[in-house]
Amino acid sequence: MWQKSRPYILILPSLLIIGTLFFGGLILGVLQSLGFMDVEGNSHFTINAYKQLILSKDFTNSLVLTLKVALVSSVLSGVLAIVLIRLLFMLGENRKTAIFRKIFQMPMLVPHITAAYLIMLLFMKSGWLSSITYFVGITKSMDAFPIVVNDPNSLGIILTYIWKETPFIMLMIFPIMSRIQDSWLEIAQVFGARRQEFFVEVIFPLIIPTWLSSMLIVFAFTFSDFEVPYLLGETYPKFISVYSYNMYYNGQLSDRPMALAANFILAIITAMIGGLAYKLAKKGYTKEVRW
Amino acid sequence: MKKQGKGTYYIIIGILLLAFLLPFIPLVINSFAYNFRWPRFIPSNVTLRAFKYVFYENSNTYEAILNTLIIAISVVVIDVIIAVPAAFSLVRYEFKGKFIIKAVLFAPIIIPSFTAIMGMYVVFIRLSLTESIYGVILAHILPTLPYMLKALMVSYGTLDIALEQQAMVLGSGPISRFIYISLPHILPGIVTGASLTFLISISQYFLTFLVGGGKVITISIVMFPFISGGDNAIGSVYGLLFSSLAIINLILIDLLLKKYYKKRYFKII
Amino acid sequence: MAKLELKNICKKYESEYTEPFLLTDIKLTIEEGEFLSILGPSGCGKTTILRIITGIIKPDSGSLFVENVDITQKPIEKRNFALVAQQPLIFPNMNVIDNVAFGLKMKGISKGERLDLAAAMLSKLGLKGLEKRFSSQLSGGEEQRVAIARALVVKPKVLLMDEPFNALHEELRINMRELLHNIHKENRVTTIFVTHFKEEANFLSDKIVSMSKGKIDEIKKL
Repeated sequence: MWQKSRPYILILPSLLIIGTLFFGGLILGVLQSLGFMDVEGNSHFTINAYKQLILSKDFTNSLVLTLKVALVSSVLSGVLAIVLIRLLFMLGENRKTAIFRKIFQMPMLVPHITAAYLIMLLFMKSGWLSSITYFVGITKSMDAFPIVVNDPNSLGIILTYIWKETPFIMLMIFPIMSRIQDSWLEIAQVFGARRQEFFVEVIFPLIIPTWLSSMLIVFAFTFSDFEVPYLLGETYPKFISVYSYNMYYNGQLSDRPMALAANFILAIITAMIGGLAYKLAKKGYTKEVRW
Repeated sequence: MKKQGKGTYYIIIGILLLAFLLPFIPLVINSFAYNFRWPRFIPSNVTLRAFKYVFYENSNTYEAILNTLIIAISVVVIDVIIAVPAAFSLVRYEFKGKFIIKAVLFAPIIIPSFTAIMGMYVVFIRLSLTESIYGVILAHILPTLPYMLKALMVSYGTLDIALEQQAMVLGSGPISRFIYISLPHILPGIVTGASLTFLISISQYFLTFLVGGGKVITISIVMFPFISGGDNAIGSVYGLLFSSLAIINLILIDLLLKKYYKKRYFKII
Repeated sequence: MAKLELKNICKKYESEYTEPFLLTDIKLTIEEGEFLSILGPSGCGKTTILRIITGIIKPDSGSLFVENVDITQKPIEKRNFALVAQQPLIFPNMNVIDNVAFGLKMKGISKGERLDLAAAMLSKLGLKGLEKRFSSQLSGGEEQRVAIARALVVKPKVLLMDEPFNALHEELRINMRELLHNIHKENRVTTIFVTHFKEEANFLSDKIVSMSKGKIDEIKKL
């Protein structure tokens, strides 16, 4: 009996913590959004919160904005990651490119709020780049510098995400590439393939599943992130996470179920994206086994 | 590869390298500036005023650094203790419900922890965990544990079961097997997981703010007012502080791993 | 005119697996259509010579001539050789026929034409029906035959083979040997074959170059 339950016992502490804290929290959140355990301690089942949410222009605008920004950020990060990886491949493996690779990983040293702050320092109208363009003569005044942060297109937010997440995607792809040993490149070259052709014919097909799956992870992350839009976002429309936070902590107590309902929707969406990313990552793994 | 062809690649990568390093420039410059405003792009005077404020005048700074470290290290310790057996179990055993359990354990990687914490908020209040460092530590376990698990699972995955079996034959019980066979082998996994956990924990703002309510002061908390429209110089110094912590973390890990692999170099299998 | 000439090739060779040695003053000539074996024990430098011919390794000194043209500085992908290595190195992300057609694709030959040529070559090597398979679905002997098909179909100036049958069991080796012999009789592709098995070299070659410790000991015409 001891033998049989051994695996479960070893897992228990971790499972307990994540189970109660994480899923417990999610479930409690759902329950509260459905009317249970409300402010006065009463419970009655109602989908009022969800109804109000779906009818709310604020919510739908938030959802659309957040989805748009997440999509653009993840796609651009993914594209930039591939461009950089191909460039690094074309330059070959040497001490210089090893340093380059480390430099491209540097944004990972900085937490998201700080990254948002740095983008702000660079791109705001009174920011560093604006000073330079004025000095060089491209802009004639502070106002002439384009709006990049706190703008309706969330440009500042997108730039922050691209800066932070491109290294992440690259990090996910590197181990796959390192498994392709030199002998494969050599034989391809004997048969007439130049480096760029080897990249297109062999490397790229190999990394596509991991590439897609990490872009999905970036999408899920940027979709649910709080800190960057909190710092750089406009007051309206808010990002979903900020919307929910605002509703919970700055709204009426009776608004809380709505905030938790928004959280639930957020959790469901990210969970589905996660499932997709997992499926893709698995496919990528079976493909690479033979190298 | 023709020399000329490589040249264009170097130019393009040079531009991109610059673009990636660009955000660090105002970070460094602002830290040393006073009254550094548009349209100046090089500060007119270099001063350590902001540094003085952060490290001498603001008493919160040291409390923030201390708390940040205490929280991060506690989370690392807790994560290691509960993740080691779990990772072992996940790698070695097949059991019913494994897939669901794995899904549960790794969910926080994709589903943001604040959704769970906000739902838990009322319970936290009742358990006096809000505005308490214990609550924050508990909350930080959520986004960090899956990464520690992953790192350990990779490490365990390379531990040949034959080695453990050999130890068993030689009369070694589970505990001594762990100490003498498993532990030395999974050390790199522990170090990698700890480094990630540390990084994630010190980078938290929202979670710390939600649970700690502004009473539990970490570096990100104390930094926030300065970066949301306050003194740029001071905000930048805090930013530098952050990056320094992260860099020290990385260098430490690098050294530890190098030392580990040097010692075991003769172990070519 | 010699098809391929190695003149005074020298290379200081360092590897983690063997002691460093010197490839000294290698002089080699092979005529059009000839089957030449380089015979020697492991670590004598025969694989290194092959890698220098393909261009994967650059010699420290000496030169390489193909049809009287100096190709010592030519990049690997422009040399128009073909290689069958010890590992089949069949690209796992492509099926068999795409693998065989790979060299033709790199030459710019159109899809229809190269797939036809590849299919014909596969047929010749007894691999008909396996076109859509992937490397994980092939046996060792089949994989190595695919590698040979891939090498032959590009009509290389020189076919280079680095102990290609080592990973196969005895019976299969003998079959493959005979297959190669027949193909060579028919195609007369200039071939350089590296091996440490004497019978193999004797069976297949027109000329045997014996080596040890980085030097050529003897060149024997059969």
